[in-house]
Amino acid sequence: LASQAPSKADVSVVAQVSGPEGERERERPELDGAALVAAQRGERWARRALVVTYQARVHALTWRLMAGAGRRDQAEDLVQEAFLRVFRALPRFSAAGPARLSTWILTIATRAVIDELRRRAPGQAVVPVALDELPGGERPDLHSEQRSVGRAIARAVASLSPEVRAAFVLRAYHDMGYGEIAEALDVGVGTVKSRLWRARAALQQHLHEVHGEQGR
Amino acid sequence: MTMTISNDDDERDDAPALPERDVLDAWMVPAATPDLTERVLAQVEAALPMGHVVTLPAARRRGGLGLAVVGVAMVAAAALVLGLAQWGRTPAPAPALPAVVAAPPLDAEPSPAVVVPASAPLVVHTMPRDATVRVDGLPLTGPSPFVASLQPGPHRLEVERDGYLPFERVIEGGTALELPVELPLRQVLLVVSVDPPEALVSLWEDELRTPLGRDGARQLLSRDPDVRYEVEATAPGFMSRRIPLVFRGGADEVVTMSLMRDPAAPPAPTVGASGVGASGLKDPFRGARVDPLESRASGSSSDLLDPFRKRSADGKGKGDDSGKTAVLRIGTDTGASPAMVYVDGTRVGFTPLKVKVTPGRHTVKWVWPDSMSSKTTITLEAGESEVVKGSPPAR
Repeated sequence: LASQAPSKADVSVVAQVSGPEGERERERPELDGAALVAAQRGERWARRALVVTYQARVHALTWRLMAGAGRRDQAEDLVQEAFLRVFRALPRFSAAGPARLSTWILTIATRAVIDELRRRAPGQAVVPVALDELPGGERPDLHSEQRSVGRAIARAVASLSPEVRAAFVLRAYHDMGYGEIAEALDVGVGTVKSRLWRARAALQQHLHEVHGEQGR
Repeated sequence: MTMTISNDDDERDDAPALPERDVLDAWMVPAATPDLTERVLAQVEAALPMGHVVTLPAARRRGGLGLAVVGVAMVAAAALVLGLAQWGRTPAPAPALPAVVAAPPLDAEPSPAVVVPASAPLVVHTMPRDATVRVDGLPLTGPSPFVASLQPGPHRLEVERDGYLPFERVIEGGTALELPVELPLRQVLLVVSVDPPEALVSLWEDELRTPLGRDGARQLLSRDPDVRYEVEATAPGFMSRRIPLVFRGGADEVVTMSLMRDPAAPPAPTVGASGVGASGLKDPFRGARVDPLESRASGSSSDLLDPFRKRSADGKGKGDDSGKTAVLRIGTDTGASPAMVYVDGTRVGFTPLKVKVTPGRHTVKWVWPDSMSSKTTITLEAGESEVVKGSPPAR
């Protein structure tokens, strides 16, 4: 198996297959200032520009948080709810303030998801990752491994509470800093660190299990 | 798959580390359903109808306006490219276009929405940024970029600011436009370089002629957009030439002209005489009104060295050179355009120049055509020569 292990370059290529979702959060575009002002005025074209700019990020966030709770079918409902909250609050957003618009929107989306998860009883605790949700291609060995790792991460995230899961997803997939996560979750930075510690520990354990299985 | 684990910035030594991004990306998110954007926007529109905008009807076409929609196609193409760059990352249907709106203040009272499906945004980037922008006479909220939404049809766009020439154009609404407008400065320093150097340079403003001097002649112009400007150079033995001035919008315009010898003219004399310059050509300025500051460009060494001779900068009377044993060489920093210079409050000419002054403390002030200025003071000893350079203050 070791001789078949993909190189780092191969993994990078696969990562690109995932498209914009795989980009580093801080390298992704922000809404143009003029469009932001127009969106704050409620102009329809600017609202569309805002949704198009941030929808993939919000969808990725809500899907990961809801899938971790076994309710991934509600991810798009949460996208709608999040953007509704965004546009209600948008006139109060200041581009001159400390938060980037993307961070501010993801904070609103996170709170929308947590509110939803707190409001209703959780359903399925552990969510299997469907095979058709993972990349296909001409390297079955590579994609088999990718699927295994994907499932391991999904299991690890599903084992976390919504608040810990949110801290982990914001940190790992949206590059938010401790202070930004603390702001988003309305907790202290120490609490964020503690939650991330637990998330990493769960993730490490599940990934080592995959690694151990592959090494046998 | 590489299982490299990298340290996240948790300061605790025993902290479990976060896997690298390529590992994390194995947990992929499926694509959203194609109509998610539309569902989001429909829900937002239903809950928050577009209400705080002001409707602008399309302007009536004015007969004889004379402002054709020059460049609109280019601007539209640029806007399309910009739009594609904006929308290119995430495939999305064409943006829904807004009602005809101008930019009211954010705290404006909501007014009833008027929905016109085919209206489109107009974004105007101006330089300077604090210009006044009007569409169909209605001012837009600034500073730049100015945003409005326009119904299909012609609209009059006006951009103006003190110290700059105004911009006016009729644009077509209904197509997304992003329009950069850089207003040209109203005041321009004209510098004319001419060959042969003894040629007489004149400025024509429509049919009004103003003699400027010779090679290196300078003139500060306050431009009138409705006036045609031309520069003419004439010299005995050469064919005169008159060319239109093309302004680039900057603080100075340098014009270079060369005259061709007139084959029918007699050969030029070679011996100097009273009223004849070094080149052998009679000085057409002799006896004419010539600004002494300009005359230095014609080679008068005394004026070049001392523009104060007839201006009494230090209160010692006209032409009094006694005691002026120090020299100031005044210029502008690299990249700065020539400036009008005042020494101790007296105008002495455009940079670069050389001024004799009395020993002691002097104030030098530079004034640029766009009204920016800077000032410095310098103390000189007898016989001392100093170079001082000015630059416009940062905007």
